[in-house]
Amino acid sequence: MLSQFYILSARGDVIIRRDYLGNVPKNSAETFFRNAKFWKEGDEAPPVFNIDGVTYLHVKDGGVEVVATTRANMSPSFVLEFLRRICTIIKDYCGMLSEDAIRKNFVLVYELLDEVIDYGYPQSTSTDALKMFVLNEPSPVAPPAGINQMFGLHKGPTGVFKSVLDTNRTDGKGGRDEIFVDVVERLTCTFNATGTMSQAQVDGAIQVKSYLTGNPPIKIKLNDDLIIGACPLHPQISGSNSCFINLHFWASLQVANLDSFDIDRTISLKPAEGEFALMNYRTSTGFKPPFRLTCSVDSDPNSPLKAIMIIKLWCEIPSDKSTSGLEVEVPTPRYVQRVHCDLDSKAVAAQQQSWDYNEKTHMLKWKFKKCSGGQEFTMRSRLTLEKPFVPSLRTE
Amino acid sequence: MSAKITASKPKGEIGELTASLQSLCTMGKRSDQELRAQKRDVFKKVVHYLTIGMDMSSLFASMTSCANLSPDDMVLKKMLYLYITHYATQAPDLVGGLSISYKVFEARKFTRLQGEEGLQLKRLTACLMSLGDEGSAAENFDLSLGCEAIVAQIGMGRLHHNCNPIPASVAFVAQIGMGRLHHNCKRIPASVQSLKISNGSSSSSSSSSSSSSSSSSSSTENCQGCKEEKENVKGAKKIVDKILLYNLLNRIKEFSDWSQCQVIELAAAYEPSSEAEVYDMLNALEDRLTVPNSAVVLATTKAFLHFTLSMPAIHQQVLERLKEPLKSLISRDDPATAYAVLAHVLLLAKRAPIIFENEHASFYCRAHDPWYIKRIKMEILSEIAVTSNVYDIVTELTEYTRDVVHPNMAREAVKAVGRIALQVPDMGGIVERLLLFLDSHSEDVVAETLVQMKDLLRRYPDMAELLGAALRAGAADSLQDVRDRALFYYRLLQTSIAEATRIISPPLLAVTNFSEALSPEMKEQVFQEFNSFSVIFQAPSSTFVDEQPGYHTLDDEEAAAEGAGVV
Repeated sequence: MLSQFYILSARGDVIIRRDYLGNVPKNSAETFFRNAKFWKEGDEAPPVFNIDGVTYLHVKDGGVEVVATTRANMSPSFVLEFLRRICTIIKDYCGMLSEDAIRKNFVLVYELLDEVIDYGYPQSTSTDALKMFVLNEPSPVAPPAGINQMFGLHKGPTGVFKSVLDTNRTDGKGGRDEIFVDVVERLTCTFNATGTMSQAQVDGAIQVKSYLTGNPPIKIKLNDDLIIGACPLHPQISGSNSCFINLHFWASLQVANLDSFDIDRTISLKPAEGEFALMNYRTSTGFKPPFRLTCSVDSDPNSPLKAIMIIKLWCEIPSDKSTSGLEVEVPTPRYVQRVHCDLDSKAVAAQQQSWDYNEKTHMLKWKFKKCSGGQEFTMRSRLTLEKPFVPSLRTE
Repeated sequence: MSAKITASKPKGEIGELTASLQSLCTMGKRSDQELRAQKRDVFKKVVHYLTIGMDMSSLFASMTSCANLSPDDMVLKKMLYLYITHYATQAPDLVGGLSISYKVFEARKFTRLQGEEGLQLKRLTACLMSLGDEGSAAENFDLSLGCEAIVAQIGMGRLHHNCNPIPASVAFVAQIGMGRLHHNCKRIPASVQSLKISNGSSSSSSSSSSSSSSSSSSSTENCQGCKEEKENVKGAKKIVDKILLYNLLNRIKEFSDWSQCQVIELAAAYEPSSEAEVYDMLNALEDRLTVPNSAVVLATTKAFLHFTLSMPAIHQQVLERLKEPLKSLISRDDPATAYAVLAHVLLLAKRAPIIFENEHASFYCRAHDPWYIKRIKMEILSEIAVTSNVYDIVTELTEYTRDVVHPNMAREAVKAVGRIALQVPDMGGIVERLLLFLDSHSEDVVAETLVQMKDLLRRYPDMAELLGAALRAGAADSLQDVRDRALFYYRLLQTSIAEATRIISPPLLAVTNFSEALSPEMKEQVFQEFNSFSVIFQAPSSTFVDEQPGYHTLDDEEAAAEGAGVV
């Protein structure tokens, strides 16, 4: 089972350390940090690696590394899921997971760890059960400004940083009963070189953050036109609202009652306190991509060493909706030296759009603060090349 | 880095802490609240220094006396226990004697504690008791006294199972403690006896009536864990008791995720006696595949695959059924868990590539995947390539070779294309692609292409144009050595092909299999160890597991005393 558990800051300082079995040498934290920082094959170490008979497993979250070591041949998913669960518990109790939060609440974290792992064996990790045994008070930490929330399904848009213990401590008048339900989806589309879509997938989750006292039963109702199927038997039903969703239905244990789901699409549950994912689903049909992008490259009539690239973006969502925080990344071939872009001057003046080129990574970024539906946006850029423009370069 | 701080500094800090601890031992003029808060602050500082590696063992006496003076402050007690457990094993001489007497003191209080706070304390004391360290016989006797107290508590705890979950929690903490104690000090008879009791309680709780609460399930789990640990130590083979297993499976929904994994592991080790039984087990575990925890899903996968190994038709169906959950797990946000699942998918793809043939689109790399995920995905793509999907896959891989920022990824992509060329019977188009890569301007890509071509030539020795292209690229290479050699061969070929064939290539057998891959026995063994590190490292566990004993055990100490080496 687990031999050691520690949490390292981004610089390699040990913030929390627990040794369970004693069969791994004491300097394993240094060994881990040295190897993880300077991994040969890439810029970060894989989540599982083995050095000298000791296997190191780590998960990175909130700027800290959560590491476990073991000498036994365990299941990697088991340990990695467990580390994730510990991150979630710390988030529930301290409000958020960051180096600062852990340093301020390290006694609380040690208490939680004592309850959660005993002699290297994971025990019960449900936030409710742990509440009974935790005595320390959390000290709140202000959230850092400007967290990048783009690519995480876990970081919901609510941005709530509250500790589960707050509801316990305050008496009836002070505490608020709150529950946050977010539907977070990630859409992945693969387009081939001609612009047609070769594959598309939506991964979604219903995330619930509950701060309700006493675990009252609640009911959640979903759209009536959802269908759950193992495999699509008939082609997509076209029509305004009906959609055929291939749902992979995952509900948390002991919590959700799905008996009435087939009848009227309700889920009744007693939510556990803290954060958990009520349902995960995946679908590959029944939607079209919200953006269309075309790109054309031509040689510049003024000089042979330059090329003009025109990128057009159509926002195909209905015009009453808009997106915020949109970024278009264009990787350029290696012989592009410099890039200069012209955007719609009104938009730049209103600070709605901007562009940026990183020479080291050859990445051109086009950023939108807000992009309303049903519109078309164009960007012209002049690329300076090392060699003269030749049609073969166009393919690149 | 958590290096130890040099000797000069600790004097200052330890001196400070000693002084403040001693001053806190007396009430002085401070109010109760203030005293409590100040004590907590000092203790927090001590724990902090402990974590970063400074040596705090000399503070032991003051810490204990300080804590004893506020006996009802649980937070203080917890911190004290943290301190003791940390040093009990690191500096046993310094702390050992004192800690044992402390433990005995606590044990005597143990049985007298009442009420809810008392229960908290009992749990902590149970944890502490079980930290066996070496000591003289007299101390061991005292320890065994402590153990007996706990054993009695377990007896009482069992009776209280159904009324109140908290005493049961004491019971199961104590059970783990027993396991630990047994592990460390096998000679204490009390611990052996208590293990028997805990085994008994596990079977009784599993045959108890339906009103068993979830806490008793966790106690069962802990017993299970300890039993396994013990058996691993003895090296005995796991003989799974059928009744116990059925009981556990019927109540599997009550367990926490981690206990479920353990139960399913147990199920995978069990040999079902008939086909009907296999179907029963499959149905019982079917809904575990929909749990969001990837560990449970993989454990269930292992169980399914092992049950149906002897029944090929069902095995095939099982593999089909597993496709959807595995695909959903791969596309999750968290790269670490996705990596573990992908490693297992690679193993399955190698064994039965047919199931994933049509799903190649789900293994395309996303732009923001970390490199280790991209690498595994490319390996999977090369395993599942057949004539029907090879064009799509190779096109996709060609796109990856254009990756400027990560030349390693470009190399992996070229490697994957080469592997596909070796597998698929009709490789004319792929060879053209490889030749195209030679024209790309990245050194890494060109070098990798040459390596792949070499493999191709070993397999199909008659590809003249391939040879020609390779030589041409070699001549353009930046390394002097390579250029010379390439030009040499070229001139030789120019003069007389027949001569060249005679000199350089005596009739070589075309190579069908490359021996760098694992032998079939090793592959079988890796498959047996599904859902463990063997799959990630692609080697059986004997190659990377290096078991070492845990904390000092009494037996080892004896051996050391007899003049053997240091443990």
